[in-house]
Amino acid sequence: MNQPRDSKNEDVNEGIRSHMNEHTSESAAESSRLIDGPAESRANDALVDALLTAHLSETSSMREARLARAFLTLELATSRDETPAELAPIPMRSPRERTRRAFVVRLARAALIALAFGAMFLLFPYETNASTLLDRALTAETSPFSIKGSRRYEVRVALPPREASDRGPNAPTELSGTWDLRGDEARLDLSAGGTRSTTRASSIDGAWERSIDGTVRALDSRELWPRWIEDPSGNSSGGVAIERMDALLRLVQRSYVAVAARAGDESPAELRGSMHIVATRVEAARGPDDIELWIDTKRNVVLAAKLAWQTAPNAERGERARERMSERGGMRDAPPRGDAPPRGDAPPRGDAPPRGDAPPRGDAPPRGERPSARPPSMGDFPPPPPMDDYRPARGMLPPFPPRELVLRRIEPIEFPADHFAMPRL
Amino acid sequence: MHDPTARELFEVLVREHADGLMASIRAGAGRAHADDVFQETVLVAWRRLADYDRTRPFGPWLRGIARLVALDLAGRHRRMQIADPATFDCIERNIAQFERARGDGPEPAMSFRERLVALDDCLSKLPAMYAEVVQATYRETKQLAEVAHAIGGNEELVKKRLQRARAMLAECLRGKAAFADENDGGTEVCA
Repeated sequence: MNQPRDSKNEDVNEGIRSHMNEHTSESAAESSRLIDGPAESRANDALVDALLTAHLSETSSMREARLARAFLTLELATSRDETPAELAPIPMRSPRERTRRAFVVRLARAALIALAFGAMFLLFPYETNASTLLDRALTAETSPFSIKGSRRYEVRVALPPREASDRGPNAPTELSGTWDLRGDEARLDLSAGGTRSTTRASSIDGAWERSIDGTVRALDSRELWPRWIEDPSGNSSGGVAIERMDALLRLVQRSYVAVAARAGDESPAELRGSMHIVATRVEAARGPDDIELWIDTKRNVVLAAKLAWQTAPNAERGERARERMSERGGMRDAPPRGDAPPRGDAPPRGDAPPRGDAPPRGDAPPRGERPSARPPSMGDFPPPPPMDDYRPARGMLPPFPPRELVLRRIEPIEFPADHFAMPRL
Repeated sequence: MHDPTARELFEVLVREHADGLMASIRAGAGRAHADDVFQETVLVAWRRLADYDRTRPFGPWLRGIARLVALDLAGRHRRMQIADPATFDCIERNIAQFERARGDGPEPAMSFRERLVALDDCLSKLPAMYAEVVQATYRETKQLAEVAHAIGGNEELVKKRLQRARAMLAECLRGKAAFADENDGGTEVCA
């Protein structure tokens, strides 16, 4: 396909190259079009190329803009065609006047186009921007090129105020550390007050944990992260969104209403100039009530994220949970279906272990690796309230959601090859 | 109650067939002038609306105009590449089939966009080495050299992989009856 129109003897490849030179932004797609072979093959190649472009490269705003331009051109043309003869402009008498008139017409046309585009952006304001930004960040995050790269986020977890929970007097109020990502692997290092630290990692060979006393053990599939955030689609690894940045972005796309604006005074100085997305939860997904993201639009990477849970409802949920517990004679159990709170507290969908198969509560390790004593934790966290149906999170992390979780990208970073692998004992 | 004018009805029809029209233009006339051809097609279609036979589908009529507009534009832009008639026929046959396709969902697809979802399933079946270049090329709109650098190969390798990937996708779409079967009533020039 794409035979040169003027001469079939012309070098086709040269023709394509010169055609490309007209447009410096040609992509790999156009230059790879099939130019030899039967018509059927060339047609298939060209049409699949066109469908891929429409499906993967175009956004709805690009399509709308194209239609707006076409209809505006139609409007201008028909208004000219339909102008009654008596109102038709009087022919200009001199070339100078004709030039001036042409200039005025061009100016009017430019103004109309600007007006149409302005109206379009007023009609599709920030929601479209936020959606596009999320799309791009998600693409960059899941791209085979970017996921090979190493990413590190500084993590700060602000736990709920002591008054709002049943935690013991030794419980910390803040945890900090780093969250490292490389491909499908993740590693979270957290410490309280910079002294006691714990590590939790998902490597290609399996998940493992290092407790604050240095004990390292493999985690089985039932030992999940605390279910602070959950991707209701279950697409992310284990359905827990916090394990992966792409899962967090998908969660925002699916269950939150997001608006975007250029980061200004409301943002930390180092983030100003990036795009600031503020998302509010609207669906019954487990997760923070509000998520803020700062995205570098040049690289489409998430520079920072702030996830906030409202503490008061948590306290209320705790109260409700305690009431339910006392009604059931103090036995902790998962809530019955349909009894979940309407926003954000739905139990995990279908992937909760069956009751008879549920791992034991507490900090018991998997079979065959049972240590002699309960590993120390970062404070005396009580069991999670049953209302939330958090599955056992036998690690060091508190099972209930924090008040705030802040992520800040640190770069450049390069991890050692065995950074995510379980240390050999 | 506001009665829609001919213009409003025309715009609804154009909007409904815009995706198929754009796919046809991109496939037959390339991307560089696709927007110009689209715009001119809408204008010509409006002016020739009296010629439209209402007993026949609007999409093929619109795409037929686009083909003539593209030919005309190619006459004015020497470097513009355009498909030969046989390829154009095959493109049209496949688009018409695509518009008849039921789609992958539980309900029959009602629009071109809904039918495009079938492509997702085909994309998910691509081997990783092909999926990688397709994602980089189309979703990330990377330049040829960038993709080549990223996969550690040269530009020819990228082109070959893209061509192979598109051939696999076409085969997959044919398997879903979204593309016409080569042996199923194809025109002589196309078969």
